[in-house]
Amino acid sequence: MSAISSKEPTIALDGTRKARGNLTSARIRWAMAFVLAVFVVMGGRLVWLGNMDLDTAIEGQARAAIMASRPPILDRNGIEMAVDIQVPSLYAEPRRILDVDEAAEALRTVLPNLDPAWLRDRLTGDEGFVWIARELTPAQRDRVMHLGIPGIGFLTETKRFYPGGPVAAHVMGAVNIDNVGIAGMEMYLDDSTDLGLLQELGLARDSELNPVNLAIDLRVQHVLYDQLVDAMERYQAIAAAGAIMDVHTGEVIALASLPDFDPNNPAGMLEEGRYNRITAAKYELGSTFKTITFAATLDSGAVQITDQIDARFGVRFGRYTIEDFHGKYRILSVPEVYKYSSNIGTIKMMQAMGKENFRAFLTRLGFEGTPVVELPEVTASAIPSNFSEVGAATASFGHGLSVTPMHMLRAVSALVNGGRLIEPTLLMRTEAEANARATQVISAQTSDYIRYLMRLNALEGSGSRGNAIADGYRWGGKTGTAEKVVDGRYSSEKSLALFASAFPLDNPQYAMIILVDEPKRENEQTGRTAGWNAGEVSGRIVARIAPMLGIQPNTDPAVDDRLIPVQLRF
Amino acid sequence: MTAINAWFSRERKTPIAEWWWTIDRELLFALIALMAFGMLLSFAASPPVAERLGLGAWHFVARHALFCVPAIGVLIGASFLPAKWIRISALVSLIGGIGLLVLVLRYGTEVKGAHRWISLFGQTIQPSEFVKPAYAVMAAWFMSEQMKRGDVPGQAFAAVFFAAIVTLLLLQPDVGQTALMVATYGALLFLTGISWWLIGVLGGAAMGLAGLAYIFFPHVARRVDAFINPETGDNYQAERALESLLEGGWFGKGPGEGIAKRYLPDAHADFVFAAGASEFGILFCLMLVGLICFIVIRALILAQSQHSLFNRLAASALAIQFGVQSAINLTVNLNLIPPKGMTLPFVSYGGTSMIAIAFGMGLLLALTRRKPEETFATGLPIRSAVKHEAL
Repeated sequence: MSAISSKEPTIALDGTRKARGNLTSARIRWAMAFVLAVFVVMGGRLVWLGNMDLDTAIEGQARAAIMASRPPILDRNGIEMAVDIQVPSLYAEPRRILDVDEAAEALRTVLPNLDPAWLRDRLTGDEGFVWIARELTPAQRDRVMHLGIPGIGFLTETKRFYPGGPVAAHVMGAVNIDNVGIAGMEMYLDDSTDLGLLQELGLARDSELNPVNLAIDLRVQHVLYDQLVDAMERYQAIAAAGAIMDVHTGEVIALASLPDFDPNNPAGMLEEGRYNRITAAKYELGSTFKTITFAATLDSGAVQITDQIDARFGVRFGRYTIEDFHGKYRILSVPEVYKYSSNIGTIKMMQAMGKENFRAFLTRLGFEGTPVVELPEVTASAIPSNFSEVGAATASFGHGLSVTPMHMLRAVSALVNGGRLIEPTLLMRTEAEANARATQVISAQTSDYIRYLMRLNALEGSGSRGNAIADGYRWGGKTGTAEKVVDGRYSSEKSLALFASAFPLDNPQYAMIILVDEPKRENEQTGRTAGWNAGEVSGRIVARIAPMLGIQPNTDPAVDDRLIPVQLRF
Repeated sequence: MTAINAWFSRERKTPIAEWWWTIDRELLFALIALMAFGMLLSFAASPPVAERLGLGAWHFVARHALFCVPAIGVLIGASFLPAKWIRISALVSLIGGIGLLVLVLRYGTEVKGAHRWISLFGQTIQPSEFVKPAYAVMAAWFMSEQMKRGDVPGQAFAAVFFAAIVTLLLLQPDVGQTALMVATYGALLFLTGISWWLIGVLGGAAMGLAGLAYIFFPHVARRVDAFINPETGDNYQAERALESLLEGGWFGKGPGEGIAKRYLPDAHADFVFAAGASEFGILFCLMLVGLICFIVIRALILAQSQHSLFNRLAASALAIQFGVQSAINLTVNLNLIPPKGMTLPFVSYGGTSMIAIAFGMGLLLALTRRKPEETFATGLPIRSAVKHEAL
């Protein structure tokens, strides 16, 4: 302690007193500096804590995203196809639960389907947030609230609800439990608009989002869906699908594919075979494709509508000979080749045009790549880039190349609407907008020929069964019964029945494609080919939807007569 | 009104007027403001604790308010004391406190394994709270006497008292109060001018003591381990405190809206700061920290301006004691150091603590009053003094 102070005599001299004062004064300054330093550290710590971002993520998902809303989706007439509803979801904060067993027991009185072991495990731990049960009813929420368990809470989540259930499943797609679009138009909305971004920022949370109008006409959609369900049962098919498109605007007013799923319960989407057969599957379209070949040859001028085609003998390629299914084996006129679906005649016509020209025409008609549509579920067509002689021959009647039904629907629309190729869309579009982007792929004259041929086939050919049902709506098209490849060979048992059609053919409004996969005979008296199933389905659909779409029935034969090209009138 | 004005009038020399014009009003109001903060935080922090203990929600709030009344009385009463009575009251408190500390070991109620409380006239009190400020004043007196007149063994007295008190505290055991005693004694040694070399040695010794505490007191070791490695061990309080601090953000969740504080043990006492943060926000906390900092710095500045060595040392010791206690509590709340049972002066719930602090701060106010004799010494006039002389 010698350093402490003076051992001076009892008389305090002024000098020592001053020195003492200076010393203690300096030491107090040191103390003040120390105090300030400590408090600055505390202040800094507080500022640091204030600037710290709280991790409010819920199991990796931003809280705002969970509570984010999506725009309502309406059909073209404003009927709701998808809406948001508010549902309570139960969560727990395990680190705040005082008695896990008690909490678990109490919760199970309201939610008895929760596994006790799982629930206890869920409630144990140090997490700040775990879901217990999502998307409960308001009644369940009230009962859980009355239990008064600490560390248990509810978040209001928005849940996507599809009032129509599976009716437009493949169009709507689905959202996952975090309200993110995972298929169909829901996914398109997330990817193409700012919606995903809005949700991430939390802006889409409370704000009313502008509804999205689809091109779908829900009435037509219902009919299509209904008839496809009926077809599945009637013909014991493994699948059925169809789409209807406005030939002037490219708007797809109905699209359905069976088997399907309920968007309200999207887990079913992943089951085998639930894919969208209109855009995400490609098929050899068979004789339906002859419409394309006819348009190609007639438009090129290589074949005239008045020409006669020699279909007496099969066409030989080395060891193989291609024959007709219902062979007439005589000289056929061009309309007869179409009406009797003569493979021989079609090959001859294509050969007159030349296979390179034919291949180029397929590209012109938009068969390359994936179908142009908003849906994310699309597949690319498979067409050989160079046709061999045989390849071109089989391609002319729809074998050896695969395209999606959506490709075909677009092409058929162009063939009947005066030759304008328009991109299909599931969103609303005016005719002016469509024309602005359309390309002329065939002449209006060729388009007239095709309309005549399609109508002819309904009146006298393979479409007559369907035409009997859709009487008066001037409907027509081309069947196709494509044998499936089983074990590397075309099977006569398993086939894909198609019907590509349009109506009313005197003033085309809508194009339609219907496919029935592996249809069986309805009964002993009926056939198995496309006219019996896909054709009849098409006819039944037209008979129901034409009145809805404002198309007046007209059974006057003069209407059909006016479709006949002048060269063929007698 | 005129009557009240007359009490405070400078025209006549009433004791109240004398007090009013010589007391440091900034410091006085800062201390009262701190009590107001404490009241506010009590509303936020104590209802959940009271409910958890099965008492009425406002049990601790009401009692806190009730303690504020005598605390303000003690604060103001003590600030009236002249230098001589300051020493006498401190001496009485010290002797009485040490006596009670002895009795506590024998008759004290055991709470969580420590004997710190004793029942006296139906009230449980914690004698160590009163010993702290009393020791600061008495040790300052012993040391100042030795500095002025070398023949008084002041340092020895201070050391003996220090050793006795620390021994009694460690027998309870109460490591927190021991640390405060060490800080007070160390601060006085520092202020009286021990060499930096010796400071180094004593600092090392303090570190050694801390090390011994870690070795010999299992609960200290547990807390330190949990702080250093939060994964292991029980760090429950600190984690909840941090959660509560973060919950409110800059502006707080608003009164009654805090959730984390419900799970914060001792939310009304040691962790009142963290509990209040969730409701009032970080900005409010910064204001509170700023206020405490102002009190300590203001008190030190006033101490520095004292001419009497005893006044200077005693005021500094009291200010540093107050500052160290606040700093330990706040740094624990902010999770900067391992948890340590230490109340926040005037803010935390606790009757003994509040009245003892009021006593200490009252003495501080009394020690730092502007004194006429000093104005004569410096030659700078003070109006009341001049008036007094003129009469």
